[in-house]
Amino acid sequence: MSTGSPEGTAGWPPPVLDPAGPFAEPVTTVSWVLFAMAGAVLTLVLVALGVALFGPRRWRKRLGGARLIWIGGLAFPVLVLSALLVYGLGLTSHLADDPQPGEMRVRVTGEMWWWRVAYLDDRGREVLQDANEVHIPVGRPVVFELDAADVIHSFWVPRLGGKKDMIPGRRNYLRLQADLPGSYGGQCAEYCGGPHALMGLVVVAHAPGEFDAWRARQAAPAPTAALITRGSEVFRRSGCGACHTVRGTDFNGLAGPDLSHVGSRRTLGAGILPNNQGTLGGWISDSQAIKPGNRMPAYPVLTGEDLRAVSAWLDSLE
Amino acid sequence: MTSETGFDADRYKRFPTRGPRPDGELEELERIWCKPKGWQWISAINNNYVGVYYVGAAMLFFVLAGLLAVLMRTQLALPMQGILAQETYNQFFTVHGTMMMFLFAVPAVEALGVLLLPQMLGARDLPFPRLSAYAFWAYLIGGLAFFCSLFFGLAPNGGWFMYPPLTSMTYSPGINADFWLVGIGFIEISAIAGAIEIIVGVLRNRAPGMSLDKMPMFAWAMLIFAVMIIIAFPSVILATTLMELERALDWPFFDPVRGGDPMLWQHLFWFFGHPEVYIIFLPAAGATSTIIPAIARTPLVGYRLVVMAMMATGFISFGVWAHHMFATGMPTISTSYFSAASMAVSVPAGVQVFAWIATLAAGKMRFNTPGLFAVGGLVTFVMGGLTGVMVAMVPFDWQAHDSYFIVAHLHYVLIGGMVFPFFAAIYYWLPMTSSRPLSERMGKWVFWLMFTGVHITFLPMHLTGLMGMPRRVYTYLPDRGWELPNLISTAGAVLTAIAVLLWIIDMARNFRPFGNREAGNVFDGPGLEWLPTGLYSVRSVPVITSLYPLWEQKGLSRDVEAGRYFLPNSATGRRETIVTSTLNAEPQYLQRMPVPSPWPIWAAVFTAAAFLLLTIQAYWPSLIAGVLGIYCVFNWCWTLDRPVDQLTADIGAGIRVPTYRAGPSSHGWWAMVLTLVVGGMVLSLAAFSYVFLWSRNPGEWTPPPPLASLPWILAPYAAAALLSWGACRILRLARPRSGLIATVLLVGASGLVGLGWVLEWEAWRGIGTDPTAHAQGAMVYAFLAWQGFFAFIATVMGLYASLRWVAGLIAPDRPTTYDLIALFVVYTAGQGAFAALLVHLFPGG
Amino acid sequence: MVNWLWMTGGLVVWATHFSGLYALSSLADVVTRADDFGWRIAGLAFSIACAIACAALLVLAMRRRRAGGPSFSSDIAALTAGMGGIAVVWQTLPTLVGH
Repeated sequence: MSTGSPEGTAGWPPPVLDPAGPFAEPVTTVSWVLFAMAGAVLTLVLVALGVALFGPRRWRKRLGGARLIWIGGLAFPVLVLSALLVYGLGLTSHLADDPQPGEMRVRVTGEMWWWRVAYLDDRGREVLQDANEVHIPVGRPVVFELDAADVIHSFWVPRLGGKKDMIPGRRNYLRLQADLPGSYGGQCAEYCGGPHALMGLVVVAHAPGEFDAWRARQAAPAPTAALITRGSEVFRRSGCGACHTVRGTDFNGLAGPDLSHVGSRRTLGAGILPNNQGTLGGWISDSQAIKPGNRMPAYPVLTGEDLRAVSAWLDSLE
Repeated sequence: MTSETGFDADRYKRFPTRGPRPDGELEELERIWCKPKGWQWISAINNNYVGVYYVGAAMLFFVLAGLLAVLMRTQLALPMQGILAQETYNQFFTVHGTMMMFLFAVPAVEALGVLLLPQMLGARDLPFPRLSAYAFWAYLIGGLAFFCSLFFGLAPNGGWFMYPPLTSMTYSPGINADFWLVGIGFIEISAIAGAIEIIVGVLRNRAPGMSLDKMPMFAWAMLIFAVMIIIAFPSVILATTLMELERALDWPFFDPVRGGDPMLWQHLFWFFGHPEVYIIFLPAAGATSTIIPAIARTPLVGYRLVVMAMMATGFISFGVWAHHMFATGMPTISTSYFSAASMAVSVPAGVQVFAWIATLAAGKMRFNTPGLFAVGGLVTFVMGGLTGVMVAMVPFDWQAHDSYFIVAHLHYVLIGGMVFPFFAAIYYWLPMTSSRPLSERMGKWVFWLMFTGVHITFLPMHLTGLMGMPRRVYTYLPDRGWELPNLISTAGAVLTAIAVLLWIIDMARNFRPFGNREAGNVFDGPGLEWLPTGLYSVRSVPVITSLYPLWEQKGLSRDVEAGRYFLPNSATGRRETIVTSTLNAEPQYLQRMPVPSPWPIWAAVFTAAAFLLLTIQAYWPSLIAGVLGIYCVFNWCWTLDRPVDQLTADIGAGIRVPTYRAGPSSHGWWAMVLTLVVGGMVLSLAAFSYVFLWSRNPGEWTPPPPLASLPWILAPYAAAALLSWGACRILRLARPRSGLIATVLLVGASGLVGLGWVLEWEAWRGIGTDPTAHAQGAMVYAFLAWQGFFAFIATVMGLYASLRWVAGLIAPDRPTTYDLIALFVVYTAGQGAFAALLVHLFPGG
Repeated sequence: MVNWLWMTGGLVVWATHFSGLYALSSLADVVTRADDFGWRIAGLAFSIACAIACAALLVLAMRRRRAGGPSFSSDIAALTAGMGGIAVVWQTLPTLVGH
């Protein structure tokens, strides 16, 4: 049972030591092995140091020669490190990320300071767009294709596996797998300027049946999308469609996150706020106060009523 | 031991000499090496002064960068605080890292070398004292300007390793990044100048008899440190030059859209950056290897093992750079090579640690402040080294990379491996320069507060990283469990700050340098630096027969002070020191040393001004400052290579050596060759960059100019090399017109390299190459820019040669000036030819 | 100069080994795959040659020491040959492990 915020960024146990899939578990194991090794070596060194400084004369004489260096500084480390190296090399190969045929593929593009998500069909074409939240089925490896739109970012969901950088000009691959349903929090791990500290993400793993249901829901536009409400009018009037897409409407901007099903996301602002009408309104009215430097301008000119209306509409896009 | 130079070692038996020294001999030494008066402290070049200034400046930057850290930790004590705004924090962490690495760590250990090495080796000063002064002042001015950029909101904010594309013009449009690029330029110059000096000093200016196996461990460490700087710093010089060219002129080295690659920066930066941390560590380890034996009153156990360990660290640290790039998607086998090398580099570090433990066991440790800092550093460094082995394992690094785990690791190794030993060094060696030692009582408080503070700050960060907190974040969200470890870390930072404050107070109360008396050998150390010294260093240069002279050579201090060894006087009536051979330290010749002069200082001021004005895009003022800087350098060099009054001199007990040396064994030749090695490294790394960028997009590269143009470009270079060689030979013929002909040939050679450059430029212009269109053109023009810089210097040197001839300063028995210019011109010709061959023939048409 | 090369011999072999493996895998990455079998075998062969070179240096240095020659240089040469050899063996492992 882990503590932490509902969007899955657990506090305790530490995510790196709380693996939820086969690409994270061996790394957790090697972490414990390494900690044990380091602890043992540190203890040995401290004991040797203690004896050297405070020990009885006989012991100090034994340690006070080149033999200690040969044994402690050469023989012992060479043995231990050789073993670790072979272990590490084997594990590295085992965790190699070359995509296998038939694996589900998701393309995530790092943007300043959010994540553009696209689900690919088996021919590698983008069939579904989303943002900041990735949904995967449990029990199957998923290949993440990692691109960068502007600067270097890094995709890191510690409970599911190690990180991989997103570098402009190249496409990197990362295979992750969740064995338990739930939300797994992550964060951008390569400094990308500005509010890099607030570039979080969520990976949601579903049991297979639920995942298919989710996919079906996502493929269709939200039922309330096409409704002409006060909220959608505010959206249109404020020019939001220039940056955002809402499927089922004529809002088709690509500069910012896809909002077609924003109401169903667990978080807002790239993993940093819970998602409800209040936070939606707060974000729209002044996202610069929450996440300074982000690419969305503040909208101080919107009245309270307008804000409530547009938040309600967006919230309804599930 | 067989002689290296033909020097008869039996002559050492003449020392110590008997009988009283002539009257006035000591007074003459004191007059020649006199204390600066009034404003002359600015133009002082004696290492006793420059060394203190240098350490002082480094500690100033340490405190300033540390203050930034305390403010950063205050911001991070609690989640979502607004104590530091986002942009402020981003500038703070960038400047903290940059200052600590470039303005504190490397300069501090270099400063320690400047301060200690001459005395430790029995030399009167470093071989190029004006160069140290120049390096120091350039560093101080540049460093202060860099720090002050914070007050204008112009400090860089891309992190201390400044990855593109974030730091490209597109995403960092202000001049903040340029401050970093140019600011580092200073440090590069400073570090390389210091490195050249240290290599020549350690290898050629030792006390006679101090063969390599009797050389102090600190000297070994500084030698290897300096060689590493010569090999590693060119990489960051190239990287910063390319980035500045990209930002200022839009030449796309790192822009993937136009054939560049952000990974090129990472390779170049880390090829420098990883050796950099060992550059920082080795001198501190050398200091620990000196201090522990001294405090425990026993020789270092495993001297030869430790020498091997330092050499091995020096080499292998150049093969681990991509362990900073394990998460970038490199092929698995490549990351595995780097993982293996990273394991290997930890072995020599362990050898040194166990050598220290064995020494402690063999001796009787005293827990005074230097002892505490040395042992405290050992423990901290071992912890950092162990987490280093952890992150050398690629799968673990995939989790730990760019998280607070790495922040913990790097601070443990740097603080344990450098900061604590450096404080040990300050407490240990301060009595050598100050009339009062630091307070032992306060020192123990400083140590325990600092040790406790550092561990409280950084130990929780291992956990914070495993909890998923990335590095370089100005804040974090609540409810992740990150609050408690962050709060604890902040408390530790405050404790550490108090420790440093106490140290500053102790320094203010007790540090009294440049007086008439020093506190002396308070800790009973064995090294030559503890001999009684004046501004002339030792009164006479002893013959060394032991690694621990003050412990094992009876009566040494008394005999040295009474002038019973080499050079108890000034043989030529000027400042001088003995040059000895590399392996056995046999006396070879007497080196004339310069007197203090304002020209190096002004040269530093104008160099700094030229760079800084360039940063703020004031191009004409920058050009003027550059020209003035060149004028100062001319004046500085003008006093070099002057006629000698006497061809040989008596350096003691009737032993005579020449007073002038030309050719490959002269110290000037060595300095020039080392400088050219730096140039050659930049060239090689540029060639690597060129091939690397090609390999990323082979299909996009276009054919070079027609092959027929190549011989026309190579011919002037070949001719230049020939003429340069010819100039030196003709000068030595000592015919009536030799001087004139040699001058004409040399000037002609420098002109010819310019011609070669113009022809190469024309060839590429002729086929319409646009350096802003694609990385290929950018690289070709980058080679041209680098070559143009060298051709320009060659032209300036040609001018200097002409002026020397006109002033009648050229003589066949003093060929060094022309030799050195010829070396430079030949190198430049070779560099131009190599670059032309590369870009014309690879990948070809 | 020769003396310095002798003293650092094992480490020079290491540097050559490292550069060679890096060049081979980089070239392989352009031509086919970085861990392509043929290129790896080439790397292995090169590695064996380097390991033999380190061993040879070690043997030579031990012989010189026993013969009573200049002890310091030979001591250092032996030590760096050993250290270089260890590093060469470790660096060879990636051509073998995990494929």
